[in-house]
Amino acid sequence: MLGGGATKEKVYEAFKIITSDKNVKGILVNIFGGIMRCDVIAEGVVSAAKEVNLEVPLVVRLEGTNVEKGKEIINSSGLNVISADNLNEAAAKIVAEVKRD
Amino acid sequence: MNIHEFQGKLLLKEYNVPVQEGIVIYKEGKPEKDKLKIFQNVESVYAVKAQIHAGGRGKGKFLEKEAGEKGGVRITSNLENALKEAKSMLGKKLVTKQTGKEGKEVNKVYIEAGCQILKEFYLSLLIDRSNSSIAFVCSKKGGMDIEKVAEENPEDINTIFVDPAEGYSDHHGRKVALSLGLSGKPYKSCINMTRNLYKMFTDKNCQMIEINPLILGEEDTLVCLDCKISFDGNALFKNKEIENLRDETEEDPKELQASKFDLNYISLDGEIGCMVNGAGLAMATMDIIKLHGSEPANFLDVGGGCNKRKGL
Repeated sequence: MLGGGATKEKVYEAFKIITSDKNVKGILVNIFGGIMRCDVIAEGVVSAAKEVNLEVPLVVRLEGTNVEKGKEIINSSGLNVISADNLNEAAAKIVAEVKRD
Repeated sequence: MNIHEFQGKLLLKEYNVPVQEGIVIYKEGKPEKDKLKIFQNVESVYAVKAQIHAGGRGKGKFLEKEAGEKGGVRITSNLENALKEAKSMLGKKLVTKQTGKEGKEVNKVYIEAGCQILKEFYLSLLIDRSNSSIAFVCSKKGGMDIEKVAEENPEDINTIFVDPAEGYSDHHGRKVALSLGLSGKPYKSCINMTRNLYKMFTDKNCQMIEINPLILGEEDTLVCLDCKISFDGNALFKNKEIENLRDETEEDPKELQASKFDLNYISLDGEIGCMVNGAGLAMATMDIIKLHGSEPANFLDVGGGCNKRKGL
């Protein structure tokens, strides 16, 4: 799987960096799968979120190639991930989650 | 990438640009006795300078009381007092106008032999993108904020452009020396110095070499009393010895970690962490978070589908 592993690694590291910031009360992932397929990204996000033991709310917005497959992976992951269909909705959801806490 | 003053001076020395002798005192470990020998012929004062990646050290203030009232640059009359001052600064946090209110911890202090100062000048080399050239910026008003001089007396600043395709010639150096008002021996040594500085600038892919002040001292010698040097981060692979000068304690640990994985990450003050691909989409995401009444905790571009490993 060319590239997939590297992307997963990058997503994982990105997650670690974001969660190491004590000020972070919520995470918004906004990926447009152009060259990169959404299902590959979704896999990366899910495994990274599991590995770093995510404690803050997470909203994921995916768009682009294989978007349906990507959303399915997110929704069936068993993680507390909130899925969003567009950028505006995604931002509204994560802000609402953060403000609620 | 920025480096410390003492590292910059070692580099200048390598290129035969005149600097004073000095030693570094680290937070851990005692100063080595035999290194202090370089000071045995010093008759004048000593300058004790905190080594952090921020300007305005002299006018800075330490957060801790034990570090004393004075700033991050102190003048002492003998070596014993210099070592004492160095010790009082090490491990303390220095706040300057460039560090933010939390300050920066001083892990290294540079002790340098002082010298007589007859005149102070400003000299820097930088890349002038609008002219596609390397520019020498010089002024007779050295030792102070060059930004302030530029604002109040812009006529006191001279810029001499060097076309990088043509390269440096001594006529550039003569212009620099003349605009600093030099003549005789210092005029000649200024030309040598500008030639060496230009060579160092291009050899090491510098972004900026700033010498403020450049001074005229005893026996008509020119000496670089302070220097601030930064390098093009994208050219570091060509100069491993420069990359080795990187002081990771001076950088944001999160940004440092991100740079190891080729992520474009910039830490911000908000509460929502963002992971986005593409810089434009990342900017739009930050905007829309603000629009909904919150603040982004970072800018993060995980990049598109292309990466090094994929290219292999």
